[in-house]
Amino acid sequence: MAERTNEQWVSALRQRGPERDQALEELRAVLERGLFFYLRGDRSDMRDRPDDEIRQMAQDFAQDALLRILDNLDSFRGESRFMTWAAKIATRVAISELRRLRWRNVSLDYLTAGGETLPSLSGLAVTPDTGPQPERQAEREEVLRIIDHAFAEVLTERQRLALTAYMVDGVNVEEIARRLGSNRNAVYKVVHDARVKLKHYLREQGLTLEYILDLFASM
Amino acid sequence: MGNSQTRIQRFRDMIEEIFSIVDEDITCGECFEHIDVYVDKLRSGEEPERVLPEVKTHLAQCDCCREEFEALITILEAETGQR
Repeated sequence: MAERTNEQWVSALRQRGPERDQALEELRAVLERGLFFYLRGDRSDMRDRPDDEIRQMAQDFAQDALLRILDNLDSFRGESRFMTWAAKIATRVAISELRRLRWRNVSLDYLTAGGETLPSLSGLAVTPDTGPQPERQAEREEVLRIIDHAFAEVLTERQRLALTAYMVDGVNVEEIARRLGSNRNAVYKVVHDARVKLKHYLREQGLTLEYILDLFASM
Repeated sequence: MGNSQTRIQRFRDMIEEIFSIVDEDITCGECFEHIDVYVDKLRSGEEPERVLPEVKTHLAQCDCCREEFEALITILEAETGQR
């Protein structure tokens, strides 16, 4: 079967009747196949699920994606292949839902409560004094003190919470936004500004990447 | 011992992430808007960073968009049987 051009895809999907139904089914099938490949092959969190469960998920995601694609058809500018554009939307639909499921029952109280329950970056690097280069323990403590100070005093509360969730707990930006009642773009900006601030502050304190990595060499 | 090894490595990775941040960055929304063009160029052997350097920067700094980018590549590979 010859591949449809962008114009053919858009035109068919704007029709009514059998031509549209055929295009929809073609699109649905391609997306479902691609989503199945992705879920089955690329996601360790899906590894233990049976094939027919994965297939059902791929079907559901493809179906949701179709609705989103039809809703947004007018915004397709033809600068990319139609299938790439459509697959982009399907990817967003699938991954958003997978993220929601992944974090659904996870308590991240500190995002709304803050305070002492906050996991810390410096806490990861606390080593017993019998670790490598014990004579450099005082230097290590100083670096951790600087990092703690940066988190506590240089970042805003919002930056501290968002960056901690993102970097230390590995929470995705969408989920952080959901917990904070914000949106993905805004939260990414908060995370990004926080990282930029930290970078500049650490440099101002005379710290370099090489120095810190050397000081905290793997054991 | 293994546990503190992992924690130290995670600490090192995060420090590296902080130091390698590029100050100027676009939003996830802007990245999403251009990612289909970016991926098409990549898959056809062009260098997408020539036209969309800001997308490449953002993908390096944003785990969420990078995850979606890699998924999109996989899904398209299935379409054309390049897997």
